[in-house]
Amino acid sequence: MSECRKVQPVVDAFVDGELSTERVFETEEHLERCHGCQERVSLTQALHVSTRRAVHGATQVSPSFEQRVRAALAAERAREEADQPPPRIQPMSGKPMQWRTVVPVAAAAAMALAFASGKTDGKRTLIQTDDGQHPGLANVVAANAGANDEEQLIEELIRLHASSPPPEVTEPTLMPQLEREVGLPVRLQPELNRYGASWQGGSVVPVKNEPAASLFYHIDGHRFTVYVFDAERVPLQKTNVLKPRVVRDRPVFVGTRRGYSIAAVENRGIGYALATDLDTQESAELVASIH
Amino acid sequence: MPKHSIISAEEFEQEALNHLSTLLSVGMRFTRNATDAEDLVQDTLVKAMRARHQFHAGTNMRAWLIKILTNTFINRFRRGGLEKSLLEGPDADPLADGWVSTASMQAMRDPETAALRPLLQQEIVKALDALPDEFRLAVVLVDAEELSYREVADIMGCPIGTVMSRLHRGRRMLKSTLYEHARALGIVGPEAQIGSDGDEATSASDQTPINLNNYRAKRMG
Repeated sequence: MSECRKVQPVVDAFVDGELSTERVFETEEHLERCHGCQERVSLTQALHVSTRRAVHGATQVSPSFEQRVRAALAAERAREEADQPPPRIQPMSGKPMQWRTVVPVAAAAAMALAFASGKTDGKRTLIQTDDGQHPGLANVVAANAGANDEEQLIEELIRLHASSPPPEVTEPTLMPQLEREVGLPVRLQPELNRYGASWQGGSVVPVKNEPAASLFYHIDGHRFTVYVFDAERVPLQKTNVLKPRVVRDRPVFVGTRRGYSIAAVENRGIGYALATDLDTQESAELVASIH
Repeated sequence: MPKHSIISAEEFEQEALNHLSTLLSVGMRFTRNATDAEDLVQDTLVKAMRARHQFHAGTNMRAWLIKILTNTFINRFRRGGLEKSLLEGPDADPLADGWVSTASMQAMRDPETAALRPLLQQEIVKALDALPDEFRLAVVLVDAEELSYREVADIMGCPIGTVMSRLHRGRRMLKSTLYEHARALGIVGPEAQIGSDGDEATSASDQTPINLNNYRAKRMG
């Protein structure tokens, strides 16, 4: 009986093949004599087999899921290729970049300049890029955009977040400068501090060819980026690519792309979108806190 | 490092997708719902693709992917990490587990298949899903994925002793739940006496999931 006390604690390790040879011999010797412990071992083995079967038998990969994963990996590969060398988004610098970046960035620069000088009525400005092959219209109104564009917009927000560009502004006192360039009230969101988020800086970035503010935060080992934009020009919440949910009585629009989540709200004509590696629930919670 | 020693994106993708079904099965038992499991697996594979230079070609990709999946799960769903305080400590893991008679144990298993008596797969999944995360993870990784204690300790970021304790308690809860089920099905008869051997009797509270108050009371006592 006292042998049982020695054997019982090692039944799991015995079954899992994790005992030293010496202990295996000892245990086997005891098992030959003890029916109770034999049954303990057999039952543990049976449970092991059944659990394995149950876990693997309960789930099947659907073709649509496999397709989705392949698409996500392809997107990641495309991002890697596009990001060689890693992108440095510098909206105001005018340095040569890849065209996909140049078009919106140039538009943003033009807009920022226009806002600063007050010389534009905010309508169409034709931008010619470096290679001359990809002209872009600055003020393409987002409402006219198709689902593909919406998809691209979400991708772009995620990509900007993922590439983690160095902020142009890291001093809160310089926020008014950002505000002027964006042409919208942009302020730090003290609500977010309550979640333990710390502001790292901000930049002007193009969102749908409109200058928008991007504010970078750190939270508990994660990063998130808050984009502040004109909700009428960029009606992110009206797109079909984000799904509505209600967080603390506010409609929040959420989605995931490539392992990142994105959540958007609108507040008095200003749109806020949050891109992060946190999950959708957390990103929805954070963005819903912005007033 | 020469370039060819790093797995290419194509090779990586091809090999990783071979483990899709395994990852989804594990993800399903971790998250207990299909939508979260699919998100978790997609997230895992994208992260793995990004970090593939850290993967050593020729080593066990399945274990490496499961590690990323587990970490992603813990970070996303269990921001505070897994519970530790309730589980560690000598008296949280009593030696004896004579919760049921030898005859009942024998009746519950099927000698032909070396598995449990044809209990419905759903019942086992249900019992598994009812386990606290820390136990469920250990049981899934050891029983379903047949990873070694060392690998599981590495994946869960805890000592091997903790893995053993979590596994033991998890399996014991499973046995207990499935025993109730087997009784309801008439596979085993009612126990004349809990604990067939004199020195094995265990108090009923050891079989129930840990309750913080009970645990504290026990500690105080």
